[in-house]
Amino acid sequence: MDAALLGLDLILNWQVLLAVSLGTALGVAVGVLPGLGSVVGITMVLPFTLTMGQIPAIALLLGIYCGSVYGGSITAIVINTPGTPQAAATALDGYPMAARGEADLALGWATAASLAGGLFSVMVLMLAAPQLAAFSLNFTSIEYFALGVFALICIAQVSRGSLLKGLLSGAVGMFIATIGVDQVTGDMRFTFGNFQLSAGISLIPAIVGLFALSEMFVRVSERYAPAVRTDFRIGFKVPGWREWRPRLLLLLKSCSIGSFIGALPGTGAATSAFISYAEAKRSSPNRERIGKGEPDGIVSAESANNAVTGSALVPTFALGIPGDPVTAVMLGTLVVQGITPGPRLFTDQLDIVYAIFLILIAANLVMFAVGALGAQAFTRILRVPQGLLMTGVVVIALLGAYGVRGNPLDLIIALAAGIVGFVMRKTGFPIAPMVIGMVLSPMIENALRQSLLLTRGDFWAFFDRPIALGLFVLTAFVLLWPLLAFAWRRLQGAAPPLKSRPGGEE
Amino acid sequence: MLVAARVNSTTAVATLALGTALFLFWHTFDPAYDTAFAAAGRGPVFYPRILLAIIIGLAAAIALQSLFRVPGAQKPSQPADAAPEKAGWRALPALLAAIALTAGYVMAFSAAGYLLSTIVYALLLPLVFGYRNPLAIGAFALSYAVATWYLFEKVFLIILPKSPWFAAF
Repeated sequence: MDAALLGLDLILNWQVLLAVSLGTALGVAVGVLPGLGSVVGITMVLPFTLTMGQIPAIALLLGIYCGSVYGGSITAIVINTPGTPQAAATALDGYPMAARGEADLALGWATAASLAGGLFSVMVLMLAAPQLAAFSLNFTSIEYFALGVFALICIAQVSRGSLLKGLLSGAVGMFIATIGVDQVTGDMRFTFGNFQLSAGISLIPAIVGLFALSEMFVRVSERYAPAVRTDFRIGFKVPGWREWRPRLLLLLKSCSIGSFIGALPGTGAATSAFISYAEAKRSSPNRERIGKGEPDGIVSAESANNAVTGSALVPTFALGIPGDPVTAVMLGTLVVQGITPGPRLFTDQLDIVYAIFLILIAANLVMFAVGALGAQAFTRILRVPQGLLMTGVVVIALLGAYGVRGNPLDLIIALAAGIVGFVMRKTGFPIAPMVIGMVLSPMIENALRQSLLLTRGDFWAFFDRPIALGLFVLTAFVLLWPLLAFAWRRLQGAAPPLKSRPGGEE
Repeated sequence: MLVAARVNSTTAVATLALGTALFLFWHTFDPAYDTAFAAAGRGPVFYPRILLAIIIGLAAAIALQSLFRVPGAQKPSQPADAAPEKAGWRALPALLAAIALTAGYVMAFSAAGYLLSTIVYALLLPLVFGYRNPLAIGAFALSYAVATWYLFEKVFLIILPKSPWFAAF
C-alpha cells in the first residue's frame, strides 16, 4: 500500500500528466497515419526522453504505445484504411457503419471498447507481473537461457514470412549484438580495428533504421499515397447501457483473448484482434450481421487489440524479456533511464512499478478523451503531404539515433539498418526477430556461458532442471509445429499437396 | 518430380548472408582471438561461432529452397504492401536518390552542423517524393529545422553538431 501511494505521488505532478497527455495524443496521431506505428512513434520521441526524468519519460512512451494502438481504428472506421495492422479487423465492421452514416457511433464503440480493453490489461499486468517476477526468482542462468531461446523461436515462428527467414533474421540480430567488447573476457569482437565499433551496435539507431528509414525508402519506392477522403464530417457518440448490456460477455471474452495473446512473445495486437474477431463471428448472437456493420465486430477487435498493451508488458517488466519490437524499444529506453526490468524491479523499485501501472490507467483515460474530443481533428493529419510528413519523421528519428550517445557512427548504423530493413521488407524477411535477437542476445550469451560454468561444460545437464526442460520441450514443439501440423492434415486427408501451399517457401 | 533452378531476390539475400557469415566464421579463427582462454575454454568467439554456424545453415537452406522451387509453387512470400516488381524498377531512381540524400545528410550532420544540413535535407527530400510546392517546402524546411534545433539545443540542452562557419549553429 505504501508503495502504491509512493507510486501515486510519483505521477501526480504536471510533468508526468503533460507527458502522458501529449504522448497519448501523439500516439493517436501516429496510429492514424497508415504505415507508421507504435515503434516509429516511440523512436520519434526518444530524443525528448533523454533529458526527461524517469517517470515523465515512461509516461510519454506508454502514452504513445496506448494511443497508437487505438489511433489506427479512427482511419479504419472513417476511410476504410487501417492506420495500423491491429486496426484492420475494426475496418470490417467500422467502415460499413460509417458508410451508412453511423461513423459517430462506430467511433464511440471503438473508443469505449479500447478503453475497456486497455483497463482490463492493466489489471492483468498488476496481477500477473508481480507473480511472474516472484516465480522467476527460482530461475538460474539455465532457465534464462532456455527462456531467451524460447522467446526468440516464438517470435521467429509467428512473424510474417517463412519460419526459416524468421530464424535467420533472429540469428543475424543476435550476432550483431556480439560486435564490440566481450563482457566476459574484455576482448574486441568483429571490430576490425575500428575503435568506434568497440562500443558495439546500439539498439536505438538500428531500430530507427529498420523501422523509420526503411518505411521512408518503401514509400519512395512505391510512391505510396493512401486514397484519402477528407470531405467527411464525423462526430462521437458513446452507445448507451442498453446497447452495452448484451455485449458485456463478448467484451469480457475479447479482453481475455487480447490479454492472453499479448503476454505471449511474438504475438501482438493484430493477431489478438483477428482471433477475437473470429471468435465473435463464431459465437456472437449477432454473428449473421458481423462484417456488415455490426458493433460486435468493432467491440471484439478493439477491446482485444488494446488489451494487449498491458499484458505485453508482463514479460518485459517481470523478466526483462520483450515480446515485440515496441516493448524492446521501451526496454532499451528504460535501461537508458536507469531502470532495469526484471524480478529485482519488483523488490527494489516497487514505487516505480506502481507508477507505471497508474500511468497506464491514465493513458487509457486520456486516450478516451482524445478520441472523444479530437477524432475529426486527427483525420486532418492525413492531409499532410507524404514528402513533408516522412521528412519530419526521418529527421526526428535520426536525431533520436544520434542523441543516445552523441556518436556520429550511430547515424551511419541507422542508415545501414535502413537499407537492410528495406531489402528485408521487399524480400519477405521479417524485421521483428532481428530486433528481438539484438535485445535478447547479451542475456542469452551471458546465461549460456554462466550455465556452462555451473555445469562444468556439460550441456546435457541443462535438461536436468524441470523448468528449463519444460521450456526446451516447448521450444522444440514450436519449431516443429509447421511440420506436425502439415503431417496431421495429411493424416486427416485434408492437406493440399505441398506444391500448392501458399507461401511456397515455408 | 521436376525442379527448376531460378535465382530470385530471396536467393540473392540468402547468398549474401551466407557469404558474409562464412567470412566471419573464418575470421573467428584469427590468432587475435586466441589470446583469451577464459571461461573454461569458451573465449570471446565461442558464442558468435555458434550463431554463425546457425546463420550459415539457415542461409544455405533458404538459398537452396528458393533456387529449387517446385514448378507451380507461388512466389516467395512478399509483404502485403509490396509493390509489383515493375513499379519497383520504375521507382529505382527515386529510391537511389533518397538513399544518396540520406547518406549525404548523415555525413553533413557532423561536418556542416545539424541546422544547415537539416534545412538542405528537408528542402530536397520532399522533391524525391514528387511533392512540388516550393513555398510549402521552403517554409517547412526552415521552420522544422529551426524549431527542432532550438528545442534540443536551447530547451533540452542536448548539444548538436555545429557548422565550422557559424559559432551559434
